[in-house]
Amino acid sequence: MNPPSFGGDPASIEEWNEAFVTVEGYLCSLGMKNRLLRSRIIHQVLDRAEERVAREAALRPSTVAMEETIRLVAEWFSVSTGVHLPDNRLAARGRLALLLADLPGRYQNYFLSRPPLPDEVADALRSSYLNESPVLDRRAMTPRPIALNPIMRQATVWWEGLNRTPIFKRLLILSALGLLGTLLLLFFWR
Amino acid sequence: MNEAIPHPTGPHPVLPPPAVRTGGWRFRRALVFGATVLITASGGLFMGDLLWRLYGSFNGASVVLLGIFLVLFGLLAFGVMTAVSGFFIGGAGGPRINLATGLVAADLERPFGATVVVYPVFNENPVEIFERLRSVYRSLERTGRGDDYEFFVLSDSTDPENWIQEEFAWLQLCRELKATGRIHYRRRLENTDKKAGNISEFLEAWGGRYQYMVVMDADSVMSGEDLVRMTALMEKHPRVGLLQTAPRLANADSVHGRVQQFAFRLLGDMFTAGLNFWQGPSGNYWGHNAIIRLAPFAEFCALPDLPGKEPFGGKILSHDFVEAALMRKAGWEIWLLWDLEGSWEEGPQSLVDSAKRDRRWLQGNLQHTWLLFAGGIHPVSRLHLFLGIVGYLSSPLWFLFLLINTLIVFNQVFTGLTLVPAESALGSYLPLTLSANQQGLVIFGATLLLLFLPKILALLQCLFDWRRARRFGGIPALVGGLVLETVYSALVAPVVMLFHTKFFFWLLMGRKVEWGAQQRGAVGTTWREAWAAHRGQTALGALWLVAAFLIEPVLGFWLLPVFGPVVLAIPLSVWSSRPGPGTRLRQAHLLATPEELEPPAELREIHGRIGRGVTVLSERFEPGAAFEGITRVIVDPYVNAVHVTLMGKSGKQGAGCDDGTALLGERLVVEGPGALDLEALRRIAGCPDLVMDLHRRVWLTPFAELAPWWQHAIERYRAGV
Repeated sequence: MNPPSFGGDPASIEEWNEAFVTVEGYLCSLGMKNRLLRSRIIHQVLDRAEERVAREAALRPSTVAMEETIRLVAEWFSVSTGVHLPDNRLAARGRLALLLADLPGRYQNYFLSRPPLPDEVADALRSSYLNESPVLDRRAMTPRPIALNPIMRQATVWWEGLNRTPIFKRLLILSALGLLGTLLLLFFWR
Repeated sequence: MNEAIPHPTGPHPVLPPPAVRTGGWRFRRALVFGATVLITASGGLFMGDLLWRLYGSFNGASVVLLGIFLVLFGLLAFGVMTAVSGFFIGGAGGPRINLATGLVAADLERPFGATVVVYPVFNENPVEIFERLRSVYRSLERTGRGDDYEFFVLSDSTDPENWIQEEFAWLQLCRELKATGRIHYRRRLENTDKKAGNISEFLEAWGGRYQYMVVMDADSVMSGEDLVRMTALMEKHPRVGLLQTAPRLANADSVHGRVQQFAFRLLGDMFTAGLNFWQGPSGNYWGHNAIIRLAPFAEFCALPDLPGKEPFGGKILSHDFVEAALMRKAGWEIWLLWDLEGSWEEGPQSLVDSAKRDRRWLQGNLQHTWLLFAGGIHPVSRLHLFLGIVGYLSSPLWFLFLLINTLIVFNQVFTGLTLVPAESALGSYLPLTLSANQQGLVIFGATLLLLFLPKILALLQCLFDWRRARRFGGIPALVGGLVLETVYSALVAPVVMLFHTKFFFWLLMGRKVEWGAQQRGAVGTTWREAWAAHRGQTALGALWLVAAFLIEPVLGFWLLPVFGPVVLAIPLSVWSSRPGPGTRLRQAHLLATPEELEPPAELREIHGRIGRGVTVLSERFEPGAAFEGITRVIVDPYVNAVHVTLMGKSGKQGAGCDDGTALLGERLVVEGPGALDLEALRRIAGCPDLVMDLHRRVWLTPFAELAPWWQHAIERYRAGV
């Protein structure tokens, strides 16, 4: 691998350094702890990014490098497992499979390595990706009518009717309480 | 997230096999209710006679007072008779289903029907939920029967912080336990019918896959051994539709929480044994820590709406009692497993949280009035419903009792009329030579005796059984704890009474309860919260006391034990909610429980991991950090991936994913999550494509151009380099 030139001038070098740090941060967020492996991938990504920036000078190195990183992860998953990831949502699912198959831990040596992967690793990735919710097995829950007390039912109909005039309902309750209090006082009054 | 796991599901009958007459239940009930009626009637006679003596006749006031007295005294007597039954019966000669004697080794080894353990959750602490689940799962694994069980977390969480963290906690737990395909996570977009609807929707989707369902609460923990025993009992007794355990309270830190925990643990065994003594196969369901036979549950226990609207009608809030009544109505047996040790839950840690819970329960229980007289309900189920209703009505009745007494004295003082005492009517039939004052003291003494008898019996239990006493820290600690519990309960009882009375009148005025997450863990009530919750009570208590002393000082002194604590409710509420005083009591071994002194493996594992900060979320989430969920779902590639994946297949968007939400996403990136309210964050989190775009956006934007919030969030990964 030839060392990239990264534009040459100090400002450009600084931008590529920023791209390096960003990609490194992203790989860390993916759980890639081994510095050697990380460094190898970063260089791979930056190579691809530099080619693109060379073609389109308006592109920002950091942005392009991150695009390449995300693309690299999705492509690698597709090639390694044979699972096509046509959209971002499925790409996210593929990313999740990395974690479920414990790529960042148990199989970190193979993380983003050149395919083909050993069968064990590829199978772990595929089975993690293919996991589904449990098969639906429905059980109907239909409420049965309960034979409620007709007096209470009627009382509720009346009570609900009062909801149309909430002020009247409150006045009624307060009047009832007032009446109760008055009755009690009258009872005690000698 | 796996292919279906084959289970021996067996037949799923919806009707129970024919009953085998075991007899004895009517006699037991007659014994308990007969004794209750006898005690209540005796108290009523004494009270009625006293009122007769005081007024020279029965007037309206004395009739009302006597009626209230009979209800309150009757409830007290019934509780005491239940405790006395539990004290004398205990395990020996007890109910048919008894874990200590009912199972043999072969029962535990036979094939089980597929069982699912469900955790309905709603905005509770995700770390605690999943650490508890982890502990239960591992405990089951240790029994060797783990393969017979699957777990489902049924989330109704609406707060994106909880929701996002739940998703990752689930994934992490599956990874750590290698339990992918055994532990599932499902979140509802609409929280229709709250917890009952949550479970019902789950059963409609996956219910046919399982024969039994263990329902847990977000704070439930059960030992694997007892889960296996419960399933074995269901297999062994085909008429049993539901087995309810009596969960012990655990993990309390505050004084309030520890008092409840201590009282439940010390007295609970006696009460639950007593309950089982008279209810037998007509037990009740308390909503969690219970195993249910799914076929009849699905067939008979779907809840209809009540006529009218909330708060009295509409959706049934306290679904558990009703489900038990419907299951029993269909002929299935419901038992309380009072002797099960490995079942735990957490209680409210403060007076304010207890009151919030009580408000929900009060509304739910009063709704049960509908079903009291409904056709076909088993008489014991009616009794459960009745006890629930009257238990909450006792507070307004007590309030009325105090009010009438105050008015009577006021009337006497105001009119200047003295009472014209009459001769005791009872004295004509009984050799009683008591003055009216002495008779009043006898009634007061009898009430105190009934109040204290269960505590005395619980103490006696420990004196007769040193092993049990040691589990509570020894006799001195036990006695000290009982004294503290008695004092604290006496202090908070009037405050609770005023809360319930207020809630009852709010209910009458049509104010319904909002559904809120329970506050678990002793974080403490702030002075501001306490002021808001208790200011009305404090004012009422102070006014009542001043008025009482002005009317008649003796009345003031009688009311002092009731309204004195009410005046002090604010500092009492704050103090009792704080972990500090609770910790000091724990260090002195006061209010200690067996679970606290010798924590079982399941609780030890939870405490250990949370205490060390090594949890299902600690790898990728910063505990306690603000907006941690929404920040990680945007920045972290795996948290983002699990969220987007669980939101559904490509092209499926949440409700409200429109240009407005995209603008909110823009604000999130530019200004950080602090600039948005909860609803805005919820809308963003509900749009998977937007969440993916935002993930790309924060990583693709050059670091220097990011908002400080996102710089800080990304720095954490860079620092990991």
